[in-house]
Amino acid sequence: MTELSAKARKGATLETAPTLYVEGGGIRFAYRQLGPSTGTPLVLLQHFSGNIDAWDPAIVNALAADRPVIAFDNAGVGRSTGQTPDSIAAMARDAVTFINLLGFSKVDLLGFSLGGCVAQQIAAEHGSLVRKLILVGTAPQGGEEHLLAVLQEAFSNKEAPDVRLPLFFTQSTASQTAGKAFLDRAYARKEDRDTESGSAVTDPQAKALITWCATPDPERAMLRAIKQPALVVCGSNDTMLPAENAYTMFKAMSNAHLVLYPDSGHGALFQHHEAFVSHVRTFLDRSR
Amino acid sequence: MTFQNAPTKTIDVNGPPFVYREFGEKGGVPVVLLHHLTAVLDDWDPRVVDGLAANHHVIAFDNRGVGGSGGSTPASVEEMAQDAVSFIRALGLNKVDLLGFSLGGFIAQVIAQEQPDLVRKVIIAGSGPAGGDGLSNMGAVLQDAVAKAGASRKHPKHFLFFSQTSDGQAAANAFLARLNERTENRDAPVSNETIHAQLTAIHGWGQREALGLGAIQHPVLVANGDNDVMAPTIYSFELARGLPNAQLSIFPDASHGGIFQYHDVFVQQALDFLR
Repeated sequence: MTELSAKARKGATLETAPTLYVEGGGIRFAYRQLGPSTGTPLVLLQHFSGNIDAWDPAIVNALAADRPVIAFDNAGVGRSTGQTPDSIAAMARDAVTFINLLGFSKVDLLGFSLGGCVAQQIAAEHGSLVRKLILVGTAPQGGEEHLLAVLQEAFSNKEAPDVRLPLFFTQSTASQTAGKAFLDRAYARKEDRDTESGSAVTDPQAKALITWCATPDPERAMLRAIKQPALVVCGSNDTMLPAENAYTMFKAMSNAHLVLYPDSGHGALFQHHEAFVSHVRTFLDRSR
Repeated sequence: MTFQNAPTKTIDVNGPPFVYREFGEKGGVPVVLLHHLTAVLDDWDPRVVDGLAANHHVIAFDNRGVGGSGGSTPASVEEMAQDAVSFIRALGLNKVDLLGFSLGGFIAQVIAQEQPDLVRKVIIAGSGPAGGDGLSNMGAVLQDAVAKAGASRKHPKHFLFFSQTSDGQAAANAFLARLNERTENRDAPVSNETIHAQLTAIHGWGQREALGLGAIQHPVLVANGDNDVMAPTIYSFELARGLPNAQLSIFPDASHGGIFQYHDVFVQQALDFLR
């Protein structure tokens, strides 16, 4: 069994766990680790511009009730050193470096948005490292993206207290209410918060995501190479990476479940966090 | 009490008696099960029914003319929905959840649209929207499966409900064994007249104009296998996109009987959804 960091306190939550560091491959990675020390670790791969504190504590803490959960900053993001690369393939290499540094030989991956692209790449190229895959609000190579248009519109909304309200949630009252509740949870941690990412991060990340979607893969070669069980999740009205992508990924992978949530956008997992946690647990805990 | 030993009861519904079985946790909103083409009470997977009954009062019934129920099966989904509503009201219920499988999923959509106050939440499995013309093909698909079954000494559901992979066929065998668990007081078989009327109704559903899914405000869970040969899975995707408050769940390497093959996951998702 892997030796997990002694600094990870028992009963820690995303809001209270200390930020830990591990160094290798020229990068010092920042991460937090929650949950028990046994069980297949669940490694979280973050969205465009997101750091460790952009994860929803309601989701991370609930999943950590019965398995180790690791949230980290990839190269250049938040408190991690190094340069954010401008390709998904390089991000995947860095992520694998991090996973190896923690001494894990088998992990589950939960990739959200950009993180979902990285997760697909890792699962296709490092099959033995990945047990199961959860892909949320993401797209395959050659998939449909509206990143720049959606970002532009979201940032032009001067009234939103946080750009994630127009970006991750629909305009319905229910969705906006859920969005505000999510932000309250995401802002709960006051001490030792992760640092925000500037254009040194978001410019190469945007290039990586746009290039990924602009790279045609009509035979769906990467998805067909993924043999692990996969859970594909999306919101009904994701304007950035539309739900058609979820359907495409689900059809092309040999062992994928598809779940779509109602009246929700890119942040569907945050809006429907209880259902999402339950779906993830049910999926991870089955024998197949 | 489980689905295996729940007694079969009858109630008069505008004349003819309908047969039904009910059991499970009382006190909340009951779940009424709406069945598939040719199905009688014993065609429900006991794992699914028992799973739901852990938290909910569950009512499985035969609609007009089906199995042990009296009367003649009407030849339209709309009339079947009226009969189902009459049955629900005859039981004195004014708020139910619906689980509609295949033809039952068509009926559930009509009930939610026509009697919105009667319905709290809806689960639609292995089904599709009105006007999905691939659905009109169900009769031909059924006939083809019956022929294949005869030629290979298998059951039509081996071909209709499950994928042809070894995992799919193993799931088929397990499912069929579960359908045989109940030995006492089994339902009467379905008649040819009923099957004929149901096929006419299904054909009509695939050809009629769309239902106006946008008007169905209820929370809906749409579930299916990834390659449903009877109700093509793309229709489940369309249902979930057309309904304003729908969740979608699709299972891998599965066909029309996806919710039976993945009964553990489906029951968990359904219980979460109905909470």
